[in-house]
Amino acid sequence: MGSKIGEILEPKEISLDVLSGKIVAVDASITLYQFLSTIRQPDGTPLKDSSGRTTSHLSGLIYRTATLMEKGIKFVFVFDGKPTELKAKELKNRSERRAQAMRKWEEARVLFPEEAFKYAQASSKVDKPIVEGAKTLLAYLGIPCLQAPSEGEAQAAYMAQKGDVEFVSSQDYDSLLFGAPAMIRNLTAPRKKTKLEVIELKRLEEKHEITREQLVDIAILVGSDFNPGIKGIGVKTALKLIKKHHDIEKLMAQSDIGKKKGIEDYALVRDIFLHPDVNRSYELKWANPDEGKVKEFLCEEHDFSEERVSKALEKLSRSKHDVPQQKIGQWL
Amino acid sequence: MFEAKIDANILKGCIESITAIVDEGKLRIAEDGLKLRAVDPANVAMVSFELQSDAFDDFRFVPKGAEPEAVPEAEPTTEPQVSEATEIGMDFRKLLDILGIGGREEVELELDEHAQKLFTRMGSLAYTISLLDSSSLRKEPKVPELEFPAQVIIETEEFRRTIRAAEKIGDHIALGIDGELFYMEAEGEMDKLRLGLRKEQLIHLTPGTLHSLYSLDYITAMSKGMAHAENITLNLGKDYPLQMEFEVAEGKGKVTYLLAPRIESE
Repeated sequence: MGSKIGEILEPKEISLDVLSGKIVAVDASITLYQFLSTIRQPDGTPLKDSSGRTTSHLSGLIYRTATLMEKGIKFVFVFDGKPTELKAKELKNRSERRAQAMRKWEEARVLFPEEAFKYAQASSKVDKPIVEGAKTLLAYLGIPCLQAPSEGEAQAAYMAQKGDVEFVSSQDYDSLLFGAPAMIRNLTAPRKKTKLEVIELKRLEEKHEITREQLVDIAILVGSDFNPGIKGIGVKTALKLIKKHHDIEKLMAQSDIGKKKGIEDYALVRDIFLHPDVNRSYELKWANPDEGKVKEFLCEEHDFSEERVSKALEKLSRSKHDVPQQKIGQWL
Repeated sequence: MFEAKIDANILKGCIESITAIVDEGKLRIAEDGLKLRAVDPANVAMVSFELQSDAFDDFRFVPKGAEPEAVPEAEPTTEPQVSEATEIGMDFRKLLDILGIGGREEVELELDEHAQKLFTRMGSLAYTISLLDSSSLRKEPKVPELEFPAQVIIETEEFRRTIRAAEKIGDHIALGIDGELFYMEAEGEMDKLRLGLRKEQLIHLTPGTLHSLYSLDYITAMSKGMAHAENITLNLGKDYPLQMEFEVAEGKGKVTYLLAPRIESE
């Protein structure tokens, strides 16, 4: 998922403390997917309530986000809107892969239990009930949710460019292509297994002496959510080609690359990244968690342990008592 | 042209007072000495720094415009010409490291503006620092116009000791005045700390009733920057920035910190 440009990025490992007091826009789809695929029982079965509804994502939201909010991080969750036409094809492929994984999981659960978890993960799907459940819980937690007109990452990147949020949290790198000045990876992943890292667009541009426009062209060559890319061209080759020829037009004029398949729609894809459809008039409002509603929703409706939910809510109320640091600018 | 000599320890103390807030900044060199004003990357604190030319054993500065051929035949001004300043982008953290290596000797400084380098020499050790592109540095902040209702002058050691103790308790500290009493208070989940000093235990106090909260991370860094000063002047208000003033370079320099408060929402 996302563009395959990871290898040339310059991630910097950071500690969670750096994010204290910062506003982070979270790519909701990918985060919920992460919760769904990793919060599972050993045989791959997701967490479920007594009526069989999946609750892995709710568990991730309440326990992991509470821990992060206790550190003083303020969240905004940004949800995907309508996918662009170009993405529809990729989504169709994904759904096929998911169906295949689901079949394999069913087989593996009986025959090769050690393989089962992997297939189960790949069968995760962020569907409508998952999104609705997440939105309900976030509202009760007082965390603002924003519906993007199209790509959630584009919306988050726009907010970061405007300075309304300081970081975009995602797993793939498209936020950078959409222009986010800084993105964080692995924020909502289990801390023991993964390192928290930040990637800054400016550092990346300086390191490779390329512009964001050129980075987008590189992503198009290797393949993105919106085009398959050219077979056999990896990100390092793409970087070299774009640095040498400056952009895809000149590259096509000076080589036979245009005859190959995979970048026919490059102009459209470029437009999606550079001029995405975003909501420019949004309002972000944080509220205190409604503890009663959170407990009712999680414990009564979805059979969560009351004790654990209470503990998580305690963490949230601790972060609430933090006294916000003012900026000196208002006195200068 | 800028050339100067100064006791390495004095310069080190000065630079430490700057690096308590920023790692880099625009240092202004003029005939009367050095000046800097900078805001920290998180926009929470500001440092103003002044070092008079007589803090140096030797100080020579000729502004660029003073070279005769460089002066344009401009319209005559009735005002006496104000001495120009040169602005250089300085990596203070690096300078501090070098001073740390050089030890206690006198340090010679020489600026090469064309090559954008600052030569430093300590005894037989010579180190050339590349200047930072000052256009890439943050703009110098405005001079704050603040009115502080109260002032406290306190021995630096008393202040620093309290900050060190408060660090063990929480992440913020209250500074306030209650009648003729100045207090510093930190409260954590488990422990509580309070320093209360009456007017006669202080060098100066404006009586009143006020109180503000500040980040301990910042005050701790600042208290390290003021380690060489005997007394500090605290200017205070209610939910207002904290201004801390102290002398460096045996009274021939002055540092002012300004720290934005933490304010309870609603």
